[in-house]
Amino acid sequence: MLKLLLRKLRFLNISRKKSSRERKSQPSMNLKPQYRRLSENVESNERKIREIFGKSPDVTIRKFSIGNSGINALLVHLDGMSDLEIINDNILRPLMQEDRKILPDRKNTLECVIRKSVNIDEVVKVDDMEEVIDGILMGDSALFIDGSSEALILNTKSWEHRQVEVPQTEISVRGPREGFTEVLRVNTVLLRRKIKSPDLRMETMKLGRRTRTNIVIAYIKELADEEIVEEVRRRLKSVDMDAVLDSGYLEEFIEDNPLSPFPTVGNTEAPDKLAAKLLEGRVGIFVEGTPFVLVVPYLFVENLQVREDYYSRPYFASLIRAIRFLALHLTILSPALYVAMSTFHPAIIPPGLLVTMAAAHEEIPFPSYMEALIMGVVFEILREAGVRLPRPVGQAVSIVGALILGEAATRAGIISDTMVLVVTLTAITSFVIPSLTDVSVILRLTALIIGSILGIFGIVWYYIFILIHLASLRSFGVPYMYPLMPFELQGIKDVFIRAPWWNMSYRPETSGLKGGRRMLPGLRPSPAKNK
Amino acid sequence: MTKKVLAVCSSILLFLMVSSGCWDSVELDRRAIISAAAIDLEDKTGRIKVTLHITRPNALARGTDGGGGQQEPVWVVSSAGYSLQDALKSLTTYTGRELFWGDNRILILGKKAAEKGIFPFIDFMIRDEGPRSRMLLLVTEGEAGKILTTRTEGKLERIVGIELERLVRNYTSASRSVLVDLHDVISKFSRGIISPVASRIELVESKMEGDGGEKGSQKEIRVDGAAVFKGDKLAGWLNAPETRGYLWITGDVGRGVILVKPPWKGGGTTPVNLNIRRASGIIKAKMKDGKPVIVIEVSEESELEVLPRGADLDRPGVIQSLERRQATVIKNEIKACLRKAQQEYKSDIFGFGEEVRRQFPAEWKKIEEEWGEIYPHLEVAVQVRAKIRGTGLLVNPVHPE
Amino acid sequence: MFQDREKISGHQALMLILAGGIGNIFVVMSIPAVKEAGRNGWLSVLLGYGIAAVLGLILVKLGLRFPRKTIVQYLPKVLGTVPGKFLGLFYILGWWGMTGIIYRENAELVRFFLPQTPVILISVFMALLVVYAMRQGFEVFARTAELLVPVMIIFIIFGLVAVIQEIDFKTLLPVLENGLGPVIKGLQYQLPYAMETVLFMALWLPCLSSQKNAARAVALGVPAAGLLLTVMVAMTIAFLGTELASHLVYPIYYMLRYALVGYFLTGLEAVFIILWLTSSYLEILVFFYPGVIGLAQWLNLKDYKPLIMPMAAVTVALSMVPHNVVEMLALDSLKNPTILLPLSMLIPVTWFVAVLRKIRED
Repeated sequence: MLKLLLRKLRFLNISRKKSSRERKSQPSMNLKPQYRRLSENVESNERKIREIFGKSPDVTIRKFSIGNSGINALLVHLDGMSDLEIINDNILRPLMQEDRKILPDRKNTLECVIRKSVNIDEVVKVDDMEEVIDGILMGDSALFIDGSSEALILNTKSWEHRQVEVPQTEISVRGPREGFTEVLRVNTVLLRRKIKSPDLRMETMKLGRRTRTNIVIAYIKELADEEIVEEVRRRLKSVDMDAVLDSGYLEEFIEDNPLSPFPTVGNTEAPDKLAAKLLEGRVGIFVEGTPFVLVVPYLFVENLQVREDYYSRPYFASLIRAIRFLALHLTILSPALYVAMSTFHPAIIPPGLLVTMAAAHEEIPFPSYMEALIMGVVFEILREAGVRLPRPVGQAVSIVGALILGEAATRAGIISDTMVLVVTLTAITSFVIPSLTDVSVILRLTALIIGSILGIFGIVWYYIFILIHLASLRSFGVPYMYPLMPFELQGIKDVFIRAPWWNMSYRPETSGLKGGRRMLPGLRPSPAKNK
Repeated sequence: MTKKVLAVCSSILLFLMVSSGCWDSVELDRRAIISAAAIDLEDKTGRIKVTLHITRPNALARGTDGGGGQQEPVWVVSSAGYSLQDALKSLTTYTGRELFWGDNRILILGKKAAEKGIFPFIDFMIRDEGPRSRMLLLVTEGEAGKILTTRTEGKLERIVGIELERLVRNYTSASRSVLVDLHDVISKFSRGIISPVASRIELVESKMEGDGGEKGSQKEIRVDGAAVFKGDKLAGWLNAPETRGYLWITGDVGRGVILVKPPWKGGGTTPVNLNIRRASGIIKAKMKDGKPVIVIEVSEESELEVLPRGADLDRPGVIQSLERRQATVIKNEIKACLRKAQQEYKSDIFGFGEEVRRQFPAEWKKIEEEWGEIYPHLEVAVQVRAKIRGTGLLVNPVHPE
Repeated sequence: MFQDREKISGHQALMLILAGGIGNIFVVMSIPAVKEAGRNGWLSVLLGYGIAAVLGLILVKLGLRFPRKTIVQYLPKVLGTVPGKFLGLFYILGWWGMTGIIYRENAELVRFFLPQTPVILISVFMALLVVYAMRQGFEVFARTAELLVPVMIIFIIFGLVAVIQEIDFKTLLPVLENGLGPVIKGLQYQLPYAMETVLFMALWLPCLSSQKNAARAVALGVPAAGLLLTVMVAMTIAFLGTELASHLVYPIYYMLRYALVGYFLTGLEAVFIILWLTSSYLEILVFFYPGVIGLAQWLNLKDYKPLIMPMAAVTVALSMVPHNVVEMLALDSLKNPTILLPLSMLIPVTWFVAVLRKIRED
């Protein structure tokens, strides 16, 4: 049925798809041709720039002459995106105070300026207005000099941004505290500092016709499957839209099965987690302006893994893994199981509990599936209210919701005590696996509906249905349920349990993941032998 | 093509679901939870009478302000019909709720009903998807329904069914009764040669004095002894010692007390109490002159508990003679049980026939047909090894001279 | 042909064999071997799986001669076009009929839990699962088997451990009181059951990525399934007695319902429903797959996917043929000597002919 739905939606998409096929590999600004060519005349260039940017107040255009040579020059940059100190000290001052006879040959002016005058680390010579505009928009300064049909793009990027902070979504007690920020360069640096190897390759591209967002693909050359990297490139290149404001935009375009409720693209805010993923042969996709870095291929078990598992000792980590696994099932199945058991198969309920449940449900006006639905929806409302509101108010909302609403509903005899218990359990367990919270809401409601129609049969049916779906999913060609389906012994050491590090000497290996040894064999420590 | 077929199929399915709702969904408050059941045979009409305890969940609800505690925890209903199902169906006309058997723990049979044959009841309980085969089977000498109508509220547990179940399940603490559920009965039917037993339940008057000194009497429920079936028909009863005799043979004795006359003088009438610690029983078959002989080997260990005056365990032979006396008591209990089962009821409740078949399959084929005649005169040898292992924290009793 | 695209690993092959083998006991309602062999019915099961393992190895040998062909494809080559095609058709139609029976067997038990729900709806729901899995391809089926089979085995062992304290194994004695005769007689029912998984393998053998794994999977999987089932049947007989074991419609269900875990959970019905549905899902696919693939190959089609929907409709319709449980059980025991037994015999005969005529694929 899912497939059917998928096809229907696909049909609606056809017209859009066709047009997207005839596009260029890199989105451009589509400047008119007469604007694109740079003129040798500074005045004319200035006019063009003014026309392109309109009256935007942040565009700063500075006209000056180089030293005493009388050659006119033009410096353009965006206020607030460039470092004024650098511009004043390293560009304007040396150029304006230039008193050497350095400009005998007008053709070589630019070359001389690059070589001798501007003290800037990165200078690029361009002859296309589009690139000039691009540079300005990135925070660089553009220098035009009379008599030259080329411009210089000088690296003066500097803007206000958030400092490196503790990642909000992946809090861990033990382990590195730094998290990605909105600045692409900072993010890549954070990664580079984790993996100091030339094998860590980064490739850039720009996506978004209007936002011109910088994207960086990061992978480790020896470890990542070249086909997967190529596939990532291909899929990213095919995204041609006007804006990429967050990695979430891209995620939906590069998924294998876009209609599946399960996420097949991962994201992380923690550089150490990204590094660990890359070291297992995965590919990271940085997007400018967001701390969330995409990681592909993404496997189902990664939902159950938390970076802290790998930093704490294995026993407890394994126990928590098992509990997360249990919590996942509880959050999806408990309302459905409760309804199915109480209305279809009371024989399954342990005898003592049955009477308690029956007593709780006496004189409740709603059938139990309605109770569960109402409470389920109320819970989602409460959660949303708690998340969106400012923190102090949010807490008040949750107190009102949890205590007053639950208590009042049971007192008034609208909802049974046991149902409140079940919904509370569902709520708590749904917080255990944050990456699947949205999936579990959908699965929980559908399981509840089918369970209230067909009882346990329906629930088991639905479970198998979901399993088939999961088995059919792939993330960039890697089976989503690896290492469970297909089964792989080395991989299973990191699913329900977290084996000690010295025992996990192989990387996960399946089609799309190269595998291989990550440590020398026999690293298991043992006490020193007495002589 | 297949897309369309799929679409049509799924929309039909969806329509079916929406239109008919949930076929089999019955809310818990629409179910009548049975906690105990009794079956009788009416004398005059020959009809089957069913009496049920139906739990009132409201009365059991915890912490509600409704004061449901005043209500009786169960509702007793009964109805009669020409078969068990017939009686149950007419019951639903005045319960208004669907009968739910899954939580029922005990089934009490009246003497008349048991004598006529329990097979139809067992068949219903196994065939129907509701009742559980873990349900306990009890037989009473009088009318079964009367037990349920007399006692509507338990003493320690509020629901009588639960109280009775715990009572029976705890049979090993005294080893005076048996634990038999429907599965035991039907698997014995299935094995063929062996006949079932069941616990015996009875109402007894217990006199007690109230605060004001007035004397009152109250009916108490007691589970003591066992009912013996031959095939599926009630054949007779075993009293408590005979029941323990049965348990010795099957090896199911748990704990219990053996009273032995002290082998020394000056003890008065106080018997020596021996607390049974561990017991096992094995049935063996042998062939003697082409005839089957049964050997029962019972071994038991006990601990001294109450010693009368004058006991001197340090004297050699005292413990040995206590052990001998203990063995004799056990042997007598076994013999009493055997006598009843073999001669009086002619019912092979121990599985002697099965043992012969197991060990001598060839010979068994010859005597299979006339096992009914052989069984009452079967030679049974009883060997008891009784040991006293401990004396508690004291060796000899300490008493004032 | 289309099977070249779907590759499964050795581990998956093992799980598929186990799925076909263990799924059986649930789908087999009463234990037919008990009717013939009585107390020694479990011996028939053990023996049946032993023989099935040998026949399975022969099938693997045969498969090595035609590494890229299924039984439907190489039968005409070995036995001649007309008889080969005819036997291939018999093989395919056999699976069709049996799929219907399996659908019905599953629905009959589910009807126990959902008495008012129409039987056909339950079958349609199962068919939806099967169609969904089939459309995703054989690899996906193999993967789900990989996850579900170990879960099933764990649940079975859990259930058996829960009832083991109630069982008096002495009731299984004496062994072979009437000689081997009845055991062999019971074999006529039990061998075909054991052969289901081997015959199923005849159609996926070319999918195996490394043919060498096939023999290992058979040698490991069939006896393992046999051993588990033997323990199960022996426990059932010991628990219920022969009479009840052969008269109960669902002996295992009865047994698990009686079980008591930790003096708290009475009745492992939930465990049973889970087991029943997973095994039904696997078993229906095991029966459905050869019918569809076989037909596609018999007709030399390029793709089997268009056949899935109509075939599912046909098999569900077939499942509605028996009027009641008794008729269905009769059909179930009838299928063994009429369909499965001749098919099982076909394997050694074909191998023999192939060896004699020295036919192998280039």
